[in-house]
Amino acid sequence: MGIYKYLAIRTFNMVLIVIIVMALTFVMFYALYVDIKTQEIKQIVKMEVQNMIRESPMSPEEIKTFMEEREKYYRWVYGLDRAWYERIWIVLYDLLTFNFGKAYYLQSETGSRDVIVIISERIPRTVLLLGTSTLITTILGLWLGLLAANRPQSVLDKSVIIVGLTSNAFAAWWVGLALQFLFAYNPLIPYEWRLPAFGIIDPTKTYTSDFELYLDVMRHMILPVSALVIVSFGSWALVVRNLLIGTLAEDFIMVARSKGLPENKILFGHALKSSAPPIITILAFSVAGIFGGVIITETIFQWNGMGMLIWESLMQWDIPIILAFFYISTLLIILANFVADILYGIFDPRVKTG
Amino acid sequence: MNIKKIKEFFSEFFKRKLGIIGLGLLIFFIILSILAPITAPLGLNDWVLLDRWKDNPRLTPPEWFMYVTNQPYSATIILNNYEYKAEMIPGTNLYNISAKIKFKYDYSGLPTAFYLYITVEYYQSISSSLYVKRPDGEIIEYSLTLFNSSQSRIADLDFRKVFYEWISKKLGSDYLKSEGITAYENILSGHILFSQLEEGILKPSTAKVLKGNYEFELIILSNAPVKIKEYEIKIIGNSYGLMGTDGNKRDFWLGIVWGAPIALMIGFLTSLISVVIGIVYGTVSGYFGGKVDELMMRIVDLLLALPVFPLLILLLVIAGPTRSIWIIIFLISIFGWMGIARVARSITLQLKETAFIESIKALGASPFRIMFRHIMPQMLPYAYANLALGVPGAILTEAGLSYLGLGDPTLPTWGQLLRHAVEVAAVPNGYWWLWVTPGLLIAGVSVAFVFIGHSIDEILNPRIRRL
Repeated sequence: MGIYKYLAIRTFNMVLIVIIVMALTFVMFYALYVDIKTQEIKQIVKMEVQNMIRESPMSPEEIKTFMEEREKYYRWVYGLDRAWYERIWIVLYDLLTFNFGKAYYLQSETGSRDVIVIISERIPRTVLLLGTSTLITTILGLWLGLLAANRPQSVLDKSVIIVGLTSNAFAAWWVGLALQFLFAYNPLIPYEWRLPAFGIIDPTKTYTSDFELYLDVMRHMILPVSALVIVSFGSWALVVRNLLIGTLAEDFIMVARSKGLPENKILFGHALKSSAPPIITILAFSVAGIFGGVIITETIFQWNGMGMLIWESLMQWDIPIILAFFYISTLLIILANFVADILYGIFDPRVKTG
Repeated sequence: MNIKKIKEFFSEFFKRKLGIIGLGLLIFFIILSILAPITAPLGLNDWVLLDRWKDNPRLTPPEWFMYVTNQPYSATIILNNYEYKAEMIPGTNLYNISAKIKFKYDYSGLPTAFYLYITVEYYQSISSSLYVKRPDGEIIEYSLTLFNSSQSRIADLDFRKVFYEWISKKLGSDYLKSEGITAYENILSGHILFSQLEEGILKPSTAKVLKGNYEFELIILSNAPVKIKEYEIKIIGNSYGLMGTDGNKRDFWLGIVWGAPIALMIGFLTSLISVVIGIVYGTVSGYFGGKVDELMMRIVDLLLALPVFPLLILLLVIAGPTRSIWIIIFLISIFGWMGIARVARSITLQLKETAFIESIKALGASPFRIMFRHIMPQMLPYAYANLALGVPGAILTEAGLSYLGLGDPTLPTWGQLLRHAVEVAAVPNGYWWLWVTPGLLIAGVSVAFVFIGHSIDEILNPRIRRL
């Protein structure tokens, strides 16, 4: 199997999953979709009536018939008067074009009520948080796991096992609360040394340069990223350790050792490289789990990303946003898995050479 | 599994430190769960009835914390042991009925409020008054009207006029004026009864506490004996019980202690359902093989590709406000069995080829019988370990959902307590008891099951152990 065939199969799989997710979204939200569109139509018709009245006064009966007419018209436009097997294509088209309609209450920062505008301005922030914490977790986990696997039963190894077992018993968002308490609200720390407890940037500050802005964003990221890393690096190190303990016992490592290769080259060049494919697979699956942690952690730190958005929309029961949130976050995670699949193909020699 | 094997298992188990720690933690949580119905039998009922808590202080720390940190504190106490005395006044046909509550006020801080609850039953009209005897010999009289068979609630606010007159008599009306108080409505009343009678008594910040024996005597005069059905004093301090109070004035201990059985139930049931589904699914898939296996494993792949948390949010939103803890348990478990199914399938694939199963098949046993009688029992060791290892994920997921406001609104789960803590901004305001305890308990129960599961896994599944 060549790499292209592999990629083709993976792409096909991804498309299949996306289609199934869309179908699932459709099935689950069929009733809600009607509700969303009905709300939207009512608002549009209301605005139309107000405009009509402003131009020429109408009697109540006229208004009523006019409203009914327009509602009927829009129901036809949105396909609400059609049977489900006809409507499925309309909804699928909406999902494909990311047309989730208008939010009930929430607005984007630019004032738009379009769900897709609201969500798309939040995505990069969540990806920033998710990406940074995953990167740090991975590096830290790989490093600790490698060291532990290289010296089984040492103090380091035992602590990796304990930390690995206990760390993800803590909820990332609760660790976030603890970090806020320790580093942002701690009366023992002088005020100027305290870390920002919430937000992405400081709205009271004026930034003179982009560099300063980035620096402040990084400062705001310290606590949420630490919370996410603290709960996940341990189990990650444990996974790497368990994988590598097997690898390090294999013959080719012994050969490398007997050749007198430097220790670092054996660990990073040989052992880690040959364990890369399963590590990548596990990483891809853990992204979905980390995502769950990220969205709640965001609400603790008022990090204005998708987690904050779902928090706000759950507070106000803003159904279109909840629907779109599910759909888009699912697509993002499927995408992450797809990227991992491609990396797997690149790293696994069995796929490359075929 | 026979008794010898069980014995062997436990002797192995107790050789492992992690296993012992896990078991110890689990026993602690089981004790907490048993304590819940004992210490607070009506806890689950009361938790949602916010009116039930209206007298309590709001957002106060635990008593022991104030004691340990050496701050002036006063506990919230309820006194309802009274001495009842009814005697006829000689020479008249009048009865003198007295109910006396004696107690020693020995706290270093001042109370913030007090309430009296009185219910009496009588046949003839009565006149009643309340005498409070202070340790310094002062007696404060408050005359009150009690209605037959209905509960009277007297708060410290009702005493303002009495306090005003008392202070102006003892310390002079000039003192009241110098403190800017011209009418009795302006008096802060909660602490005065327990403060030393000297300048500074008007403000809680300057008043000094008067320690000693207090007597609250209710005296009723009537033509016929009067039955006192209830006589209770609540003195509200700046601290409360074992765990303090929350933003709704509830006893936080109640939420903490009832959270334990709920968390154990959520964790255990969810894990059990997932393990059962996973093992049955995996065995069926592996045993039949071929196209069936291919299709069933494709479904597993698909479910694994779905992000569980957003999906759960969505499904619970659809479930709407009727969502109960059972729906949450059901939903978490139907998204948690896929990993187990994969392993169960691979074990079945190995077992299927063994001579034992082949010979049973040759004897004509039905596939159903082979799977349930001969294959699945061999997976029990794996099932036991996963039963324990599945618990933490379920509890953490439920906590996350509760935090987002998607939990069962009628139950005090630890996740909901944390949500409440965030709602009242517990971290910036220093209400540490609202967020430290529930979070540590969630982590503790998870660690307990991880350690136990890890140890079982090491003992029973040496082949697929995680080492």
